[in-house]
Amino acid sequence: MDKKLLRKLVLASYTKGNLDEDKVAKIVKYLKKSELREYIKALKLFEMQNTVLVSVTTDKTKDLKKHFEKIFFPKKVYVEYDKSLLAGIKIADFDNIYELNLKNKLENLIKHISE
Amino acid sequence: MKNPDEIIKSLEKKLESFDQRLEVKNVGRVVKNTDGVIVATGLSLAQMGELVEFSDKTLGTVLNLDEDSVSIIALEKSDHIEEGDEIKKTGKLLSINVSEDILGRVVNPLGETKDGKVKIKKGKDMPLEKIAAGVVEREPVNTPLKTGIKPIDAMIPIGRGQRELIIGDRGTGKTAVAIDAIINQKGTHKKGQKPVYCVYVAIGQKQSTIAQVVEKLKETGAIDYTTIVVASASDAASLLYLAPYAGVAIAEYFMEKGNDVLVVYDDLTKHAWAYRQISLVLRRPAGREAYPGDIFYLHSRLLERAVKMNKQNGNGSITALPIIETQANDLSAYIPTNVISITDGQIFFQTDLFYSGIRPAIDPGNSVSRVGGAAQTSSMKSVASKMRLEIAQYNNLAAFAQFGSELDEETSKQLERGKRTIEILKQPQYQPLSEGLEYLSIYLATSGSLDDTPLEAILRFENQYHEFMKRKYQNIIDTLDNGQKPSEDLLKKIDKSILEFKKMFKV
Ligand SMILES: Nc1ncnc2c1ncn2[C@@H]1O[C@H](COP(=O)(O)OP(=O)(O)OP(=O)(O)O)[C@@H](O)[C@H]1O
Ligand SMILES: [Mg+2]
Repeated sequence: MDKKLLRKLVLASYTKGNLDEDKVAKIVKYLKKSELREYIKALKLFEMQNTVLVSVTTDKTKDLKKHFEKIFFPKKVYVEYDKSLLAGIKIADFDNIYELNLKNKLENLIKHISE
Repeated sequence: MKNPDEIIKSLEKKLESFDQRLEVKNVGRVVKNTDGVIVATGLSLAQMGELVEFSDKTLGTVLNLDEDSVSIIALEKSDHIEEGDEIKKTGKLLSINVSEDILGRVVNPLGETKDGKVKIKKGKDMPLEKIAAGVVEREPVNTPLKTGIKPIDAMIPIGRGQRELIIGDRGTGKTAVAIDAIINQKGTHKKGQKPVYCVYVAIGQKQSTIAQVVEKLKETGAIDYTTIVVASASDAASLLYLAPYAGVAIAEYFMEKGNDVLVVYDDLTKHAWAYRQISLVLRRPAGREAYPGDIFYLHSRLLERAVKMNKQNGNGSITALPIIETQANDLSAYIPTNVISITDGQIFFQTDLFYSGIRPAIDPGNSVSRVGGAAQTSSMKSVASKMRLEIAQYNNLAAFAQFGSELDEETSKQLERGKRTIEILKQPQYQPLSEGLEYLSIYLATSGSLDDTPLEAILRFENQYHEFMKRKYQNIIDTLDNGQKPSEDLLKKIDKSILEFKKMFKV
């Protein structure tokens, strides 16, 4: 399947930013096995590209979610509580990761020492 | 060793910078791992040829950038890398740590030591991929690189900065010649000479073969000025692919300091195979003999890094001796023709010659050196041109003589002379000769001094004559080693020494 068509199909599978089960079912009916495989791969990638995972060390995640949704609009935002960061924040926006937390700092320091 | 104060200071500095900075990382995730070629999503900021790190610290390098995926070749064992593993960008291009410490060592293409000794001391990071020096920084080849092998130095002379291909079938003595050339550079590590450092790159060979080479270099002391880069048959294809580039990167470290370097790539056939394997797994379109389209560029960008820098740019040089293996003496196969067209000449080894006892089995008819003549010393020139003529005449006459017709005296004399000239060009392995001794050997044949010596006795004659000269007339050898055209006076002295020796020599 060519890339443009694949992209169109993926975009058509969403309603208001959410994957739409009915639409997906309709599309799948018309696909051959090999095409189906490509379609699933493309969907997975699209999901990953449009999801932002924010890890924080406070449990007041609700307000934060709204705040980050504004910043990363129209991507989907999940905020999770992660104690292991010790203090600070980590934002994973597909392949870009922003780190401002104690855990990462300590890890870097360890690496620096062992070099 | 750094002192503790320094270490603590550097840590404190690091700690300060940690405080405010937001760290931005670009990562990817493994989608597929086939035979050490890994496809990943993400890594949208990665560059071609960049070094990346998997979550378990395995290293890889980026070889393909596609719209929404990148292809990475793992540089180490990669069986354990699975779908979903994280990959980090390092921001570094592939490079190798080089310092003077690397001489005498065996390393892999990543600079890790393979001889069980300590790490190489921190020096300079030399990039594996680099654009070769331009025209303005270069000058023509003008200094000889003496291999110590009679037929090469006489007929196919090599200059410093030249690229001369060594080509031939399996087991025809290609490696032997390259190793002898390295051993012969020992002569340049003496006072008053410009030293030649050496790099021997072993690509896809058996560990046992490599061990033999290392042993021989140690035995002869050549290891002191030589680095051995190893990617053996059991290593990942990616390491085989990188090995020659690592070799030339090491050479460039010494060249940039104004030194002369000799690099041997043994051999580029296996290098091309490794690259073909990687390309097929990467699903790049395959062309002739299933090699990818950029196979020419693979070797041209490597061999272009052989260079002779001019005075303003340090005057260093890198001489390259790539080796190519042919099938059934076929020079017109794909990889051989490619590399022949990139290099400044080739030395062709023939199976027939090898088995008929002519060793080194060099076929003079198919061998050339396109630029080395400019670097040949005048003493060698003076004796080699006569010799070449005699061999050419011999080959012509030998064809006629086969018909068994009666030969006149003049012709049979020429035939006998030719046979002796060919005989004197034979040379055992691991015994490179100084230029003076090479001159004396060839002079023995061309001056007709051997015409009355039976063929079988010639090599013994040569050997004992050398010993005799070393004992009695070392000054003549020294003068000839300088490379100036011998004066009438000197020639007379040589003639006299031959007569003197002949009186003692028993056939
Ligand atoms: N000048 C020589 N005199 C006598 N024997 C030689 C000479 N040169 C090479 N040999 C012998 O010939 C054999 C093959 O030599 P070598 O390994 O150098 O060939 P090669 O072309 O590099 O082979 P391969 O294709 O396997 O790498 C070795 O056993 C070597 O000792
Ligand atoms: Mg060999």
